[in-house]
Amino acid sequence: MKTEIFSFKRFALLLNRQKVLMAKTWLIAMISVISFVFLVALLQLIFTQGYNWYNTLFSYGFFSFFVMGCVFASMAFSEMGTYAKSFQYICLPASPLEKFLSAWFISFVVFIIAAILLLTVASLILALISVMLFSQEFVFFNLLAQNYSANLLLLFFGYHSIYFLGAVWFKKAAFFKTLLTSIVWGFIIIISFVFLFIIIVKPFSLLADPNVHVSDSLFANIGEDMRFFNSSIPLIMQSVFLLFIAWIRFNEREA
Amino acid sequence: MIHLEQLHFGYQKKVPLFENLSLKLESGHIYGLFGVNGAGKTSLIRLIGGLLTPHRGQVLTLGYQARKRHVDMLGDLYVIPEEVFVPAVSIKKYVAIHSCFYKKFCKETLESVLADFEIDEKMQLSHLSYGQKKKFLIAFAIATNTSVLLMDEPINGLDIPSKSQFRKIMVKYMNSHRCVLVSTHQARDLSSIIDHMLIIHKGQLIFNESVAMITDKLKFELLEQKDDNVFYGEEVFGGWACISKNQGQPGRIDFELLFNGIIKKGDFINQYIKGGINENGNI
Repeated sequence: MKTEIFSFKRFALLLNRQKVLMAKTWLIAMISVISFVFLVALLQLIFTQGYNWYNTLFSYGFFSFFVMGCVFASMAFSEMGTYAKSFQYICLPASPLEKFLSAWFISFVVFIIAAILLLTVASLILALISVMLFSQEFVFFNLLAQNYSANLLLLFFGYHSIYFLGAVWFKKAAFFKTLLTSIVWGFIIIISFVFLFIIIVKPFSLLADPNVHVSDSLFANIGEDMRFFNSSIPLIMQSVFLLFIAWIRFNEREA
Repeated sequence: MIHLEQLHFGYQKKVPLFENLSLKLESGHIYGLFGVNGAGKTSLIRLIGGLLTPHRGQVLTLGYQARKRHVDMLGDLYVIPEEVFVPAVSIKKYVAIHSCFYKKFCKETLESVLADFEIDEKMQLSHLSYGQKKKFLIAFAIATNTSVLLMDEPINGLDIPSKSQFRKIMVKYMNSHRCVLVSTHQARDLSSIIDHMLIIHKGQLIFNESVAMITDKLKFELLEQKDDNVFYGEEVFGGWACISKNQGQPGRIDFELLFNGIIKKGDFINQYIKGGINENGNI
């Protein structure tokens, strides 16, 4: 009898394995970041006598955790970097789908939960301090209820998928190689778009209104033209596409 | 158990490592895989373990296409690489997070082998020396009770008592359901446990014989002078180490001498073993 391609039991075992192997790194990194962000927000709280600390906490916190999330995503398959390490992971009796999904789940879902928990705890402590020291009103920040949360999560989903693909693609220094590659790709895409606009859009714009300055016609319409692309669907599609490429590449990986 | 059929593989397309390599490995045997540096011993182990992709031909391990790394195949196979790496966790934690993937894992076996190797279960893996890490992985591999065990230079880095302990352990835990493939350069150290000899050279499997057949047909002796009955001889201290035809009781094999003989006069020795050479030494 052949074993099924996905088993929740093996998936859970893989999560547990990842948790044990990465716990120390995650703990040190997350505690360092939250301590730093907490300290900066605390100083803000003291100097402003209880005001604006939450802006500092969340802006610094989100940025730091965003970058850390990308670094962790790059480390998702660090075990496959060398043969001595990779044999243990590749030969582990679990299907490629289980290995791939467990790595994604830990570096995305578990990471987000951990980051939100830490930021919430930090905000609760700071709120209590501001109540006790400066008699401010107690405010509880439910991060998930904030307006920007959904957009931020979506943006992180997009960036995470890029770095997750990098983790599968590159054997060593995946974060820096992905960063460099994405910068190069970014330039290529921007230049291609600009050329496309110059070649296709510019002649039509000039025909429509010859009095309009070239740069005005070129860039003034970009906001409107690109509005559609600002919606979340293209970002989700792009991320899913990158994850799909990562999955294909993951299956091709050798030791 | 393991079936390689017309395997073609190479790291560069124009420089093939294996060409048309076919091989069958059965359960109940410990196969010794020999070859000069760069012959492809490690690559062959990786191919059998599904860690590399053949260019052509197929590698069937436990009835599965090895490269597809089916869960059932991986659950019944364990690979010990030459260079070992273990994460910085305690032995207990390592066992707890890995043993659950192997259905036939036996904790008592692990404890027994670790005790034989004198490794304390309470230790941190990062505190072990290289040899101890290797011994731990060997113990874990044996405890998994997998049907296929692939070992790449398992005794590299082991001290002399550990090599002897390794041989005893392998004999103790070998059974008729298990197929062990050991790649090694240290032929003499493993001569007492190997029951089948495989030699790969220049992309081909040039020798594939059981130890019983070798000892039945060949004699390894030290002579003062090489005579006409000698298939292959090497000048050593005190005379000539020679391979000649065996006409008496089966004796011991000098694996190193046989390996050198096969590399230099493989066709002749092979044909004699297979009965293609008569008593007078004519093909």
